[in-house]
Amino acid sequence: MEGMSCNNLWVSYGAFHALSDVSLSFRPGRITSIIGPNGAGKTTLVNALTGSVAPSRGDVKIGKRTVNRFGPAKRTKMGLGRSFQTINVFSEMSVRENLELAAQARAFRLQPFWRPAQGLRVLAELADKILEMVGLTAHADQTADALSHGDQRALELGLTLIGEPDIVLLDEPLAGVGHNGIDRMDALIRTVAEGRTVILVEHNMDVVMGLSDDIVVLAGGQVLATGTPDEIRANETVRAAYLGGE
Amino acid sequence: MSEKLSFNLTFIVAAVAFLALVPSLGAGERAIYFLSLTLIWGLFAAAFDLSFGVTGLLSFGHAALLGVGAYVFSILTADYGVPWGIGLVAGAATSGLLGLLYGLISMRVGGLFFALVSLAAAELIHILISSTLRDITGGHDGFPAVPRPMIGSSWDFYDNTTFYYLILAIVFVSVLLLAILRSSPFGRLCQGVRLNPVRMTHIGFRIARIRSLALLVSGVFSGISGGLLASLMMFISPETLSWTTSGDVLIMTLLGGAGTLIGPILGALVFETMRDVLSDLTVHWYGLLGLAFILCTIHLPEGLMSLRPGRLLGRLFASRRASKGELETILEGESKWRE
Repeated sequence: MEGMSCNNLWVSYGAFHALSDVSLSFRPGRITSIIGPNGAGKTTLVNALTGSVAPSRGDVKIGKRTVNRFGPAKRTKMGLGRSFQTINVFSEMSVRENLELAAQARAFRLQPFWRPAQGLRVLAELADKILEMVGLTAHADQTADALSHGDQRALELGLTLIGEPDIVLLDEPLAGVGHNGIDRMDALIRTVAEGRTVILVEHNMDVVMGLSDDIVVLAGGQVLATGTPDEIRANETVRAAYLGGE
Repeated sequence: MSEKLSFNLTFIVAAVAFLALVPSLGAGERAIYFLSLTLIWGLFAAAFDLSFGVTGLLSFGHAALLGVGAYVFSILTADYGVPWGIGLVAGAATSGLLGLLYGLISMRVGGLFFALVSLAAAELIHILISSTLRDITGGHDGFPAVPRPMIGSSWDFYDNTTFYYLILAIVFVSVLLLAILRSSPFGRLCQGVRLNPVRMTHIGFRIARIRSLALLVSGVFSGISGGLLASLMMFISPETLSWTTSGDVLIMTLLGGAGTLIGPILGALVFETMRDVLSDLTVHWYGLLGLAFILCTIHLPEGLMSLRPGRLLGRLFASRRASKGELETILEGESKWRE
């Protein structure tokens, strides 16, 4: 199992610094949450870690390997999976087709172009496993855009997991999920975290405090504090800047 | 979402069986020539749809893929005596390489910018063929005396009906291959690239490679269409590479139904029929065709394939059931009111 880190990371747009000198280490096998007010640089950090945004300065590492020059596809092959803040699935395809398509990244080298994709056992087996894990077996043949928001979130997670990544980056997995769906997602994230390094960006403080081993607080593109949930709760600076005092 | 291979195969086999019978049903020389032309345009439209309807790459430069295949085939067979079949393969391969070049362009630009850059590339090739390379291509006058195949003494392919059967066979095999490819894992990757390129990248796919491969395959089949077209007409002109050809194939595809295999072929049939009928009536036939296209996009935005016989019957019965149900509700309400 691998961890991930960034050292002296800067992402600048002209004179504006979305991230300034951020150095973090996401330790293997732990859930590290990134919190911070809107505009703190959380999504920019996620994008820099996954390769969607090129850093202006600094390094991003998967394990001991610097991956600055690698795009998202290469980083995914290296074991980094990502879910998105907004639902990002193949909306016109069925749930099964979504997962089978994602499974192709793992299942093939030379693709059997002469055979229909539908019904290929190796894809169906991988899809079935994930369907069961995220609780979508009953909706397998439903079109993705016909799913409830919570189920779409589960599918989003399924697409991230089917490549069996070592490191999972979850960008606001609870965004838009109702009260009833939160427990389900909470349980799902715990399942996902078993044997993996998880980087979680989330606004729901109850979930963050309950799930995380470590917490990073960002503000204005800089690291304000790092620590365990208890340390963060007790941190006066964080309370003043983010949690609202008391 | 996924196209049903069985549906496509059934349609292809049934259509080919019918088309094979057409000459024996007493079809005249003009009808046979028209069908040959339609089959070739149908194959070109199906090849274009692999790039546009399946992979989501709108190219305004597909005329060059058709035209380059036609010219390479014509020059090799007419000037260098290369056998017909080898000339066709060489033309297809050259168009495939040009498609791959388009793929390299798609690595840098996407969407409307790709459409414009491919248009510019096609216009550049158009200029090269019509003026710079005129000693080889014949320039604006076109390239005459493009041969048809010579196989023994019993087959006279200069007879349009005999050549029609050869075109039918080549188009049949090509469309069959396209059908299989579209339903394959590769076809699904192409769909994924069209639907959500960002997610595809984060799943681990290199979408530039998938796009390039789709354009290569599209180029190969466009090149085959070009070679067949030149051989059917026994002539090829730089007009084939004009931007209007790229526009025509887009109209055929949208008219029939983008993203389906059968739709673009059906669109080519409708397009060619209208061209044939309307051009006899008026010199402004293209305007009338445009009007029909506008009406079609308003009322049938998914093209003629959205009028599948099965779906149409389903709708009809559904509306009948609804009317019957509505009538029963009204009668029930009325009797209650009377009570």
